[in-house]
Amino acid sequence: MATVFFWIASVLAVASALSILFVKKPTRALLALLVCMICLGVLYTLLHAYFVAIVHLIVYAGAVLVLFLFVIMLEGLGATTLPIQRRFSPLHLALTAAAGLIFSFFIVKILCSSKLPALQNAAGTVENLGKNLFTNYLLPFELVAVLILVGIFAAVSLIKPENKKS
Amino acid sequence: MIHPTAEHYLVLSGILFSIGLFGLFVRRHILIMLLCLELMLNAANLALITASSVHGQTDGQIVSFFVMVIAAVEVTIGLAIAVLLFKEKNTVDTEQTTSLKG
Amino acid sequence: MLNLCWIILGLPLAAAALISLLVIPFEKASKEKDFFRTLSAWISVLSISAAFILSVILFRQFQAAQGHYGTALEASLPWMNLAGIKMELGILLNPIALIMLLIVNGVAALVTIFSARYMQGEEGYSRYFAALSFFVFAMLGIVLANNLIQIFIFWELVGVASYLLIGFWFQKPSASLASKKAFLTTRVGDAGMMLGILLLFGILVQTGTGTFNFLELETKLHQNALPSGLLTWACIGLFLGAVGKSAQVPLHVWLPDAMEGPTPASALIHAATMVAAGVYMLARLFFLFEMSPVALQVIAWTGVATALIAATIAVVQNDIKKVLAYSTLSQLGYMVMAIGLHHPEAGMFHLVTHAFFKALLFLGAGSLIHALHTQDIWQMSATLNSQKNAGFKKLPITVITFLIGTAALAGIPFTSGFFSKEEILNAASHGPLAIFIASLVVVMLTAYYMGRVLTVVFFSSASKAHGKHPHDIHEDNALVTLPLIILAIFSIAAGYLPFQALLSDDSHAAHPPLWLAILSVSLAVFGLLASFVLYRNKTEDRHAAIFQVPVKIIQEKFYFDHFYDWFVSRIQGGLAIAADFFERKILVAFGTEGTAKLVTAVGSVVRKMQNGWIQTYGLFFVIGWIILISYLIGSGGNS
Repeated sequence: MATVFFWIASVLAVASALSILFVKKPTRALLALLVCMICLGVLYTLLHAYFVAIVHLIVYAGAVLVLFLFVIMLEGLGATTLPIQRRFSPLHLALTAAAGLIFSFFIVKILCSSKLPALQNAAGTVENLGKNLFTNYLLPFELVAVLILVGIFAAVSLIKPENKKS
Repeated sequence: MIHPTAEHYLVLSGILFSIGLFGLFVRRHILIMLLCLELMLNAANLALITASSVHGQTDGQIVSFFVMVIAAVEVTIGLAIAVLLFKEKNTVDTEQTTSLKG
Repeated sequence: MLNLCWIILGLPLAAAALISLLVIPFEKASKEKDFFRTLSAWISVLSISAAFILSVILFRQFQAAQGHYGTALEASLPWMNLAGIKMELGILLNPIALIMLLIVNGVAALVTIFSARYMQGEEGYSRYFAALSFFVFAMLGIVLANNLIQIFIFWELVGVASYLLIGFWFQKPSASLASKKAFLTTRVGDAGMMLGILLLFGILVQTGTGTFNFLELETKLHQNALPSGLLTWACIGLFLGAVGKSAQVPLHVWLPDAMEGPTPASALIHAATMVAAGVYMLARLFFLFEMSPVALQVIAWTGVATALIAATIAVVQNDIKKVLAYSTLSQLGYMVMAIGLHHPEAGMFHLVTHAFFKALLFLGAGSLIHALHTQDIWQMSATLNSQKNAGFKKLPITVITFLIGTAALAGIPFTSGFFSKEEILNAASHGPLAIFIASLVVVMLTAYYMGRVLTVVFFSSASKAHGKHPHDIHEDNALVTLPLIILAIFSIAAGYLPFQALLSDDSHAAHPPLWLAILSVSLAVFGLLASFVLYRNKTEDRHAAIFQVPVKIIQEKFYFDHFYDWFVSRIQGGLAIAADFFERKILVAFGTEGTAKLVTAVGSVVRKMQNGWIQTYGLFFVIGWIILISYLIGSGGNS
């Protein structure tokens, strides 16, 4: 059962990710990403990371993408539709192809040679996560809180209108 | 059906990351570029969760937690910048924003 | 005693500084030029005379302290001491330096007094005395130096002073060319000297530390066995400095041209002192040259060649100063030859006597030139001899002292020149036969060319077809005649002074044999008589047809100047053009300009990377990342 879910979710994730590349309208891209997020949530659940899956859905699908939507709708950024770039500089293409080939070669080599152990049940329950978070990762937790605060300040100061007196 | 192993998850994470990276380079609309950034971050998250599952510990999940937080903050600021850019230049086309051209 | 040396050294420098820094600016600014000019002359005369008096006092002190041949007193101020290279500024007082001190200061004082009157009316009067005082300072620096670096520095300074004095009338193109020629030719010699000094230093490093100091050099040379081949090269290098400064063949070409300078300057510099510096250095460092018989042979042969060539050229010169210049060259050749034949005391003795009679001859010539307004002996002849014995009547002191000087030069018995020349011929008689015969030939030639000058100027009874009336010839005042008289006295008396005891230890006490004296005197008399007979009726030089070609060669000074001219313009000029081409077309085009163009080109290519799109930047970023990761993965993953 889990296998079927895995394959459906992964294929759907890849398909929706690819469609982000090719759609013209930003709203459609947004929705495609939303589908991708849901699939990822499924994958997380399959990996026994229950809490993370739920939080992932809440944060991304519920907050981040909604924020995107607000911006598209309220600021009118979605009005223009820009297609995927068709003209490529030959130099860029060549560089990219070369780099990509080198990289893939190495990745394939590694994946074919190394043998990772089987997936275990990491039991990503709230209780386990909580215990680990607040004992081993307490400092990063606090720092991340500071980071959020800084982010809020940054966003507010960016949007603040300039003084007309200057 | 082949039972998924850790390698499968990692390959999937890699594919998603590459798609996100590629999308960052070929799309000109600023918002879609931001969406691709999100995709990349999520791919990384998947890899982290896989790693946590491989070792049987929750450390990977906690780190992916932090990554999510950072991604959220980054989206906030990135969208603020995108809005300001649109207000300045009246365009969302990043090809028009070449004032740093040397 | 040594403090006195420092004062002696400093007095001329103070005079030169005072004149050039204080008097000349004031002179330029004021209208009372005569006052300042007299002031310059007084400053110069007083300082150099004071230096002379102090030298005499020093001499007496030295005698009282029973100094003899081997005594040496040294004082030095350290200048720089780096890692075994020690440079200092010092004084080394030994008998040879003492004698040289007396000569330099004495002749300089007399010349200064002479110039005070001779140069009157010149625009650059004060400049002349500043340069003269500076010269004396530099010469004293050479005399008193206690190490090779100091002697080299003052060597060059003497060259500068010579340049200033030869080019005194720098508005005349020939004068400024001559001064440049003098400086550059001696420079060639100096380059060799520097190489010799450094080579010597290098050779000595293997004995512990290298040294420039004379006394240390002497002890090191006597204590260690050093590679003779390298030592010979070092000696030859040092000798090259003497070749340049003392105008030996092949670097003799500057001395005749140096006659463009004022006559008293020529007397001091190019007769008595500066050109003697080379001989002095050779004698001072004889302990070094002794170590290399090959170098001494080179020195001897160079000396005798110079003596012979110069004496031959002097025979065909018509300008009285040129005759004296070539005569100086010839006598310097004698001195150098004597040193090369292991008799430095003979060379020094001749240097002393030569200083007196040559300075006398030059100053006398100056007086003649001043009175007769010409330098050409045939014109002098025409002016003086249109009336019988006009010379004696009008210019008695000049004529008599000139005769005394000539006698000393020719080596007539009982003059000082006779004694010193005997010593040199004695040294030559113990040497190779060719050298001995050549030096005897030079004795005859010396007498001959001086006799020629005397006959033509004073004793000619040729027809006066174009004789100018001797209207206004008169002798100059005492300032001119007094130095002449003093020098004449010394030209006779110097042979009797007790220099010999100081110049050498008693192992060379043997007097020259009588047969030698008879031989040389008879050759000299023969030369004088021959010139008298040949020239008493001539109004110009006419030679038989068979002599035309050899005479032409001699008149062109053996084509030395032509050769150098060709060499510099063709070979050196060619090298210069090649170097310029190399520098401009290759080094600059590929080097500096090329690099600049390369950088600009690369920059304009790299600039295109910055097209303002973040996607391009992102692409490069990712590519770099991929390369890094691939490398890390490929190398096993242990970063």
